[in-house]
Amino acid sequence: MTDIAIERKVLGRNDLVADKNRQRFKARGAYVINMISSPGTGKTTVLEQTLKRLPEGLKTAVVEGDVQTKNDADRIEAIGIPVEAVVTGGACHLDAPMVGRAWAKLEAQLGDTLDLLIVENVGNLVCPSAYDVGEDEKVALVSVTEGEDKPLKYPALFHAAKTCLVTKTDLLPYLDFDVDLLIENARKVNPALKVFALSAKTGEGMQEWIEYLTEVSGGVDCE
Amino acid sequence: MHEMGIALEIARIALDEADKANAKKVTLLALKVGRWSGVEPETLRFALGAVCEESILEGCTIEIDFTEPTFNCEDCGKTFIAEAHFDPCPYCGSAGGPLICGDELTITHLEVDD
Repeated sequence: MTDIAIERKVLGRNDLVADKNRQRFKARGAYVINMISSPGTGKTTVLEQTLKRLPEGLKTAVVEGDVQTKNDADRIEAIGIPVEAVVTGGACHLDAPMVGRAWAKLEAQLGDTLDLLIVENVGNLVCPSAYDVGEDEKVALVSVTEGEDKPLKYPALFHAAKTCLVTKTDLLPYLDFDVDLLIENARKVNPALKVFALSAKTGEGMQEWIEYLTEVSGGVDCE
Repeated sequence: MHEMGIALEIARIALDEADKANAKKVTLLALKVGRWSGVEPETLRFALGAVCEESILEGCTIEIDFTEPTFNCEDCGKTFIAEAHFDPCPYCGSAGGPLICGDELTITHLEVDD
């Protein structure tokens, strides 16, 4: 009998591909965000409204993950933004090879440079946070119709994220939801977390999020 | 939830390492799984049982070293196990420090028959 010491990370292969993705994104000049939330938090609606409000001239593209259907990708395409759909066919998260393949197809539709790549992950609050796809930051979304203790129940995502969007704030008058308590819970898990509370429906709070996104993407060149 | 995909990757790595060592049979597969790795050990064990079938991994003992989230306090230098993310240091009450273990998902070693 022989003992073989290995010490290999199980997700090591994913991390290698994620690093390659990151180099390819950087080569185009893109800042990359990975949007993660439960199903129904409003990722696609926030994304649509974000794309419509980003300054003209900020070159943006989208990778849309879904378990089945290309419905979300169709919604983005209707806005006129380059988009590539990833239908995982059952997998509960996007991994680095999936995003790498989508990027290879997307690149053909892009100009020489890209300012911002937005990856919308599969709706799931658990698994996507374990998979680096080559992003610069994970954005956690949580809606006001979920519990204030979501960050405590699902800490891994809120710990890994740099930014948190609290969505559907237009519904607050109808709910007993305490936004400050949610933010307090999120900051227990991640004291450095940047939080934007917004409504994609009314546009309330969207401006601050757009300004942040524009800044991290390097802004728009003045002509 | 993604334990099956993780199990497939573990089996791939184990078969790769066993092949490099010209092993005929793997008798033990040892893993380190942190409480904060996002993987449920018993679900992973079940998934591994299924993916190891009909290979030189079939029937191997699966040993899981389950690690607790452990922080190293930046202020007083002591290490402590945390119940929740960013629990304060129980010794000095400060905000804690970097996680030193408890989120790993690693294959540590194999025992094989040549």
